[in-house]
Amino acid sequence: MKKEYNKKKAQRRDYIGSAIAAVVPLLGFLLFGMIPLVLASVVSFNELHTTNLSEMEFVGFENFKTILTNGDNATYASYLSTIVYALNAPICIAIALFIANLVNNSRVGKRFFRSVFFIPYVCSAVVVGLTFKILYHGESGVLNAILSFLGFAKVGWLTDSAMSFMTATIIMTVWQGLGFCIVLFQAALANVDSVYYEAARIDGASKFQMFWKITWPAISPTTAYLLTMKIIWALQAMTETYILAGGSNTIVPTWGDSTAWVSDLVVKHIYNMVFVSSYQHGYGLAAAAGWILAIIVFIVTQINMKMQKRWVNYDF
Amino acid sequence: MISNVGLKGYKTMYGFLVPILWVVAVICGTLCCFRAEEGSNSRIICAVLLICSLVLIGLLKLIDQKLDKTNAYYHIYQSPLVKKMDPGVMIPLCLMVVVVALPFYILVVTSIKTPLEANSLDFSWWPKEGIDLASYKELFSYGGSIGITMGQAVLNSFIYAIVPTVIGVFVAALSAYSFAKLKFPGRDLMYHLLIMTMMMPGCVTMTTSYIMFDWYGWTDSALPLIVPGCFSAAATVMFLREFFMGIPDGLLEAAKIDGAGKWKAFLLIVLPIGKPALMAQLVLGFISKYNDFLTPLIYLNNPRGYTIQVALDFLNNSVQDKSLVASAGVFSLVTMLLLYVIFQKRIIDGISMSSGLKG
Repeated sequence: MKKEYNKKKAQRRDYIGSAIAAVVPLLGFLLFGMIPLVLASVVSFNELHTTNLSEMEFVGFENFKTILTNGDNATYASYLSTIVYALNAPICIAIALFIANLVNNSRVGKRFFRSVFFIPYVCSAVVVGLTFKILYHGESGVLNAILSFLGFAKVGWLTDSAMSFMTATIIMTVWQGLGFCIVLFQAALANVDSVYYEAARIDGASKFQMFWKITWPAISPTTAYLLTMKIIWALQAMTETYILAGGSNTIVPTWGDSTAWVSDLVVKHIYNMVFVSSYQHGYGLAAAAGWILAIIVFIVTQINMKMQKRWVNYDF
Repeated sequence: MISNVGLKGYKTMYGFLVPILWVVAVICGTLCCFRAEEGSNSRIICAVLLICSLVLIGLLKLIDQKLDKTNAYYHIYQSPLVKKMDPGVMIPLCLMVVVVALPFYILVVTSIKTPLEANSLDFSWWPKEGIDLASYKELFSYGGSIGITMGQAVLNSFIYAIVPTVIGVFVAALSAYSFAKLKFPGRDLMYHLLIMTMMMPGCVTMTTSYIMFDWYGWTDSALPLIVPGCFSAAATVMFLREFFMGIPDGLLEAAKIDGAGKWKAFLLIVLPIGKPALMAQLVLGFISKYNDFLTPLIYLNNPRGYTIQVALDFLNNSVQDKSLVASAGVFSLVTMLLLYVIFQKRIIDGISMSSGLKG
């Protein structure tokens, strides 16, 4: 009887030890994730300008209303900029698919090409931004130097208009993001059973048909994954435009609205609201803007999932 | 026989010309989007080149299709190496290598120019006034308006990145081992809770985290960068759990029979077997922490604690000297690139593994 009791006790101690080991990451979330999440829910219905919660004033849905009705002018512009910026996702995926195909078809230097294309991915967005600022410079930048050598007019990549600034940013982001997509696509392409291609070749299929009927369905899970991830990242980006617009360059006003800057993506806008003293919007509005962005991310993900049912094929 | 020689020529031409023509067509098509300078007709030239190359591609394709492919001489010209280096693949790929390398080249060249030349409005492919490494020396002496030298900033970055990564991966490994191989009540429920934390949107908690860390009294210090990372993240645990599930139970049973406790089994069996996965997570975690910009920007207010990314941004905003900024950029990249060269395979495999897709 006693022995059995001890055994039970030992087992319980055993369980507790395992559970403690398992639960540490969850504890971290409780300490550093749960509190801000609850705070954000509460604060978004209040007005708050300091970190002292006793100064909180309840305003109901006022914050959400302000943002949705463009009450602070810059909001619509920042959402528009973010959506334009998110165009880098499909562009990047299309180019990466093309290159991954080439790399896979190459019989020499497969690993070399893959390694080279992946280098930009491990570089920080800050350094990449600084480098491209040198590249995009209106007078001494290499792109304009090449253009004017060929007899074309120089382009103010970062200063002409909101569109040129966004184009420049998207080119930079695509350049940096290609490696990630290529690596995943290459893994997916290498995984397609060559039996299918053999069969198609015997049946006399053209290269295009082979791609469209075999390769595309076979790699569609990867495409879907990349599209979802890259759009989520793009919606929550800020460093790229922040660095490109920083420094001594003139900053472009956004989409015809002179009170806001095109480099202010939503996350930068939220950052401005709280941490840049000239804005004075406070935590309440920032939390509300954060929730609205989170809801947009959620909706985009859901749409992606729904659309995937139509074109993604998991049978391969 | 003559026709065979002709065939040889056509095939070679097709193989080499078509990719080159495609590249020309793409470049000309892009250039057509730009405005030509006054009095210059380069846009028209580009348009003509574009049309010509497209027509030529079509013609060559037509000729290629008409050729008798069963002819024994058809493949004769191809030496093994030429056969391997298919120009249709190699030319675009090499061009792409140039595109990837160009920004790095410009960054390095700018950093070794003299300040005068780097900031002049003329572009040059190579420093005309000689190579000047003074800006690299300044990285360790000049703090200027930023308040920290780049050397110190890189050191800071290393500390802030290594400590949470190492502790975090160890914690994650322990947790993943428990979830994968040990049994205790409520295990699946806890795992599902952990997975759910991955859905937490970062943009929502960005500002309210600041309020929370202000309560803790941690703002103005590096603790908000270090401590949360030490508790690891759900994604890492998930990744490692998948890996540990693959360790055969028999191995752990054998260890148990030999008298090893769970702790010993973890240290002596699970960790060594899981080394590839752990290394991948360590390197990837380090890279993402080292490259992080937003979190340090929010929490680090004392210049002496700046990470290299924040210091670079401040340098970019406050210093006019481009060669100094560029050399700081090169300096901050060197460590990353070294790490990449050493752990290249681990990083790439880790990336494809952590996506959770087969392949």
